Amino acid sequence: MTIIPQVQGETLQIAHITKRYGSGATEVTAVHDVSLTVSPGEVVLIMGPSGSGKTTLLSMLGALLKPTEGAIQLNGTTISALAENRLPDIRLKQFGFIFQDFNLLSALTALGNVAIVAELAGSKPGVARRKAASILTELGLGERLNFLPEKLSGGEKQRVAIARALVNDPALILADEPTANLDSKIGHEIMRLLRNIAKKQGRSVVIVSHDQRIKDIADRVLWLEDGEFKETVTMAVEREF
Amino acid sequence: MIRLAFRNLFQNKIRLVISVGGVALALLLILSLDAIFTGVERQVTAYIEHSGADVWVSQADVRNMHMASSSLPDSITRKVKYVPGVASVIPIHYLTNNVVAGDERNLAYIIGLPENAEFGGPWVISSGQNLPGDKGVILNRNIAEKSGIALGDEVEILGDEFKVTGFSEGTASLVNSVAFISMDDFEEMRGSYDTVSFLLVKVSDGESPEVVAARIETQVRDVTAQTRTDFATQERQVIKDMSTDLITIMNLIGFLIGLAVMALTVYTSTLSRRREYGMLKALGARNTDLYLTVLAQAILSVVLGFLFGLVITLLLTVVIPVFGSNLLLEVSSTSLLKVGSVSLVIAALSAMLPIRQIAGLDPVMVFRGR
Repeated sequence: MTIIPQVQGETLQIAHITKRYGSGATEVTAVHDVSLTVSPGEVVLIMGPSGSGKTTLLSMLGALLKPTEGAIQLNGTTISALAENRLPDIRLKQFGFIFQDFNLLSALTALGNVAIVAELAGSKPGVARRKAASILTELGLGERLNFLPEKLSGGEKQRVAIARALVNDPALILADEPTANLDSKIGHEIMRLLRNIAKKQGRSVVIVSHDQRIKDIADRVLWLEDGEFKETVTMAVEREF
Repeated sequence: MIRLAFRNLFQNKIRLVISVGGVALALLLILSLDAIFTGVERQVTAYIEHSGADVWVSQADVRNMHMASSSLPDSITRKVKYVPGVASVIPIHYLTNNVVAGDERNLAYIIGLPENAEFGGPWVISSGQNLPGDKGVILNRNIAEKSGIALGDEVEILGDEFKVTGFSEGTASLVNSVAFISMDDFEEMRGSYDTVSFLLVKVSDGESPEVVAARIETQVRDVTAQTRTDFATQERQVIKDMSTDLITIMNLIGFLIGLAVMALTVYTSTLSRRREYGMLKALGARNTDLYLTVLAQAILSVVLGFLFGLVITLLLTVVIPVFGSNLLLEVSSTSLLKVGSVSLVIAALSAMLPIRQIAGLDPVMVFRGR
């Protein structure tokens, strides 16, 4: 087991993780010896071509997949070493997920989609709904609380998804191609919103995307290719959005 | 998660109608069949229940009327009269035969009543006399109307002609009716003057029918004496024994139809939401949360189906008698309990396949539109 030297104040630390599928002649290495730390309030963008291992890396960061080697630590807890049955609770309370095609529950309203995640984490229905309403209102959806997803625009759906990601006060938000189904203007707007939340609330954000246009909202851009980080660009200037 | 189950269920109205309607029809089959048999049981024992007798005395080991024959020596009547606690005794003749009017043949319990019988005769007369009289017969009004028989018309019983002298109510069931003739006519027709079929016994005030029945069996040889309640229970048991296989088969058919409809709709509903369940798993929902959602959806569907089926059955219990049918439907608490349990079993079984499907979902599917 890989021991990670504890770095004070880091939200996420991944040390030398490798993921291999199959065995023998059919073995494929999707991610090879990748290390990364993400600080509170930091926005990290991971880019790379198709098949570079982005999905596998994101799945491991989100405790959906275990690395073959290496360790992943979240707020001091080595989640890669935890038993399978403890991971749903970690995902629910420590992570916020934003998906490419929003993945909202079609039968529930905007409010219901956010509240259900709080309820799953143990909040009472009334408390969950109040908290969900408050976050949605903060994100500008106060007038859309009782709308079903089919009645919302793409940008509104992604804001509901952001509210859902925030409702359990996660330490880390993982976003998978969050602008893929949005036009350029709305996509950028959503990314600015996500960055502002990260900075204001001190939450770490890891985004996996092909979208070159959102590079400017990241603090760091990492280029993943053939399962390894090839290049890191640190955005030197702190920008105001 | 219950809210999600509820919303999922009501989101697709067509699927909801199919699943609830299908289950309702399947449960209706079970409920209505039970209601018919409960009604038949009540109708078949109507004469026993309304005979006015506290105790029924029959030939030894004869415990019911339907498809049974009892023969007692006439002298037994006097012996029973002397048993302490017996207030009065009415002997009756009984056999099952057809009442023929033209081309119409109606199966009936033919009861031979003594002249001026204080009890044992028809309990509600809609028209005509309340005792049959010489060469007279009292028929059930519904049966008579259906056969086009009016008061004063002639009908044939065991080859003899009888004049219709009265119409009774509540004496017909789905399978037969009760026709009353005089004891003398019965004896003449059968040629048996020294035997009777049953003795109807009224007990003295303050006496218990159970105690008097036991006393009769002790003091009079070769007879079986049962309280009216026990005699009616035995009669119902015969009907139950005769119909058990049919009811079991129909119940099984209803159960299988309900299960097939529910299993299919819950399965397709879960399949269409596979991605949503995968997403919930990725967010951190436990399998048990998702199983509960599917199960709640199945239970809600069958509860709605059950209520719908029950409402239709209750409507049938009201509507069918309006059309003059002899069919009596009665929903019993036992039937409700049985169908309620069947519904829950349907819900649980129909949720099993989708639950297996959910258990096998890989939450990683939510990334990249997999």
